[in-house]
Amino acid sequence: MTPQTELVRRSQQGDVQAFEDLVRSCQQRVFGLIYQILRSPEDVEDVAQEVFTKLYFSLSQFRLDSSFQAWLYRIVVNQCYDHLRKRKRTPQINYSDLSESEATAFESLPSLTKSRPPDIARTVELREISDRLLSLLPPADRMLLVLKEMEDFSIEDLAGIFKISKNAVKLRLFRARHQLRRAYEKGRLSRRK
Amino acid sequence: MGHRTVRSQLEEFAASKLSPERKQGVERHLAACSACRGHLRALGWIGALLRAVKLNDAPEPSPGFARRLANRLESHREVYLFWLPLRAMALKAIPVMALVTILLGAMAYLQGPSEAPTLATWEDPLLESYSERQDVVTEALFSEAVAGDPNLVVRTLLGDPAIGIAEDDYDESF
Repeated sequence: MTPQTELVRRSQQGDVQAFEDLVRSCQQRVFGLIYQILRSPEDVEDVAQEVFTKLYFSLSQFRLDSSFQAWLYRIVVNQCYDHLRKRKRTPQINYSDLSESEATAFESLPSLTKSRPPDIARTVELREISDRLLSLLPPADRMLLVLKEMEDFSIEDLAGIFKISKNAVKLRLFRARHQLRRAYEKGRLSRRK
Repeated sequence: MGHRTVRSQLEEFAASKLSPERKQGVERHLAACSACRGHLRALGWIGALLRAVKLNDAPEPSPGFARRLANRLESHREVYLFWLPLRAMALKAIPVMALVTILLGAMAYLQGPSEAPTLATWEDPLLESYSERQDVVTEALFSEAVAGDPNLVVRTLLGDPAIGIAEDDYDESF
């Protein structure tokens, strides 16, 4: 039994101190994941609180022989999904809304693979563009892509967290990339006009 | 290899995780298919973009986050445990209610629309007696016209019990 599973077992028995230790052991990772998915620092702590609240009240359903990490990440993903869906109700941009400067920066993306000294202004600009692009994707596809590319989750991990088959994960990743590619091409076209 | 097969393997191809045979198959397809080459390129630059903008400055939990949370949840635990059985019952009741609603709806559907009474089928005794009276009056007027007797109508009405005028209502002076 891992130390974390031991904390889960004691928390299931109503040990408040054990739950506090459990939160402390994974809060950094949970905050990081939520931030990566939502990309808005002001929402992170609120969503994290919801995650741990859900964790606390569903501890009794957790089977000690299963993976606590996968279970925790599933809760994180579900909470972020709800949050993104609520946020999605606010007006979103269209592909054609990309400005000329954004389209220019967008076109030079392939050169990112080349190692260059970090350019803070450029990174900030790219971050804004990528945030806007990610907001075009349905919440579930967006989370899959972020977890795959930024957090290095494997296809197997993602299939376990999202409770879908590996092929479904691949299909969704493909669909998400395809949508971003279309946005890229439209951004380039709007620049040329 | 078809497009679908190749696209499902692009992920592993880009990560050099395919067996040599499969890798060769994908390469052969890519050499001839510009659409799949486009997908492979997109896979590359999207990965590069997202890794480049990965956020490494996640906000730290505020001081005492874990303790505050644990204490707050502990204080809510009793309330939660009190409502838990009711909540479970309510959750169990939802599918039952849905099933009952569906059954009632199905029964109403199978019975078909209720038939509204039409003039042809609506049988009202009062209306029938009124109709009979009209027939008598019409017949009397007709007879009057034929026979030239002005009292025929009155006589016919008073003499016919189906008209229903009580004896008390009869005015002798008339």
